Amino acid sequence: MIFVVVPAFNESKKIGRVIRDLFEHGYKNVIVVDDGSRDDTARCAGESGAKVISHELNRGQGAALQTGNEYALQSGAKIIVHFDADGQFNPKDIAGAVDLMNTKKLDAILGSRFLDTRSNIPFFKKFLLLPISRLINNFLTGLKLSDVHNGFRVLSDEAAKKIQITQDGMAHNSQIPQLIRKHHLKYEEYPVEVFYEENGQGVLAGFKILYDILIDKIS
Amino acid sequence: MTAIQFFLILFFIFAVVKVGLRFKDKEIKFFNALLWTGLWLAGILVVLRPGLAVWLAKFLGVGRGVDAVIYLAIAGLFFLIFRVWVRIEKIEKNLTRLVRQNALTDKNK
Repeated sequence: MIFVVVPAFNESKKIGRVIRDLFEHGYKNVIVVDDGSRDDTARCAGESGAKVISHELNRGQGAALQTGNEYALQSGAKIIVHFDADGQFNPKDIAGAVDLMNTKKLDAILGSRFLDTRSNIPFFKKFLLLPISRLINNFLTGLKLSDVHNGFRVLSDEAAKKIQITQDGMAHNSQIPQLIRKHHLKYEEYPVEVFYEENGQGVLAGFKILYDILIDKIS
Repeated sequence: MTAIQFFLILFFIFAVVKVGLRFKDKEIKFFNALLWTGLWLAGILVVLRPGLAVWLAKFLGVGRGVDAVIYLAIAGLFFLIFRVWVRIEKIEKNLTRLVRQNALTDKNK
């Protein structure tokens, strides 16, 4: 049974479309963890057919993912997919990733923007921020990955039990590869498409990735 | 007595009284009350007998008494910030656990 966990914070404008897309692609178990949104995210997600779990307070994306994992495991999930709420991912990528996982009997799949040419990554981010972040992240996590801080993941139930996310904020993106390594989980990267609506947003987000990694190491 | 000595002593006495009241209201433990009272009383002692700070400075190998007090105060402050930071981290983790528990309980009702 596949469960798609979508952590969401103030995504009322996009969450409905994301959930409908997931349903259209055949994923019936969509869990939205509303992370203390101040807008109508929970209502929109509920109306679109998702199971909504609500954090009363905003605790961060890492905390929301862990809540989603726990709920999915309680509900009997065999495979858990992490999927962003902002419409940046393509639901078509889930099927391929799950197939790869089943064929190779992997514990985890990590999405990467760099394994094919579908993602139109902003220039500054592609050639400067992400390569630097990747070097630092690979050094710190001990996992050689082509992408950094990509929110698309597929986990087996056993992997989800072992990967206990304690980094509440964005630093969970570094913690998950660390835990994959620590527990000797079998993983592979899988090419995913990431949509960028505005090129300008990418630069700031890139700086945030660097910041998150450093904070993760300090804390 | 100089004006700075007067104001510092006044402040330290105020701090000692505050510690006493907090302890009386059971807001802080006996050990912490003792620690803080000791610290403020040491402050009063150094203000009244500046020679003590000079002796301390010589003992530590620092030039002036005031410098020794400042160095120790900065070290103490950093330690306190660290302790507060650790405490905040712990509270944050507990808060997340609580929020998660509530969210999952609500969903499973």
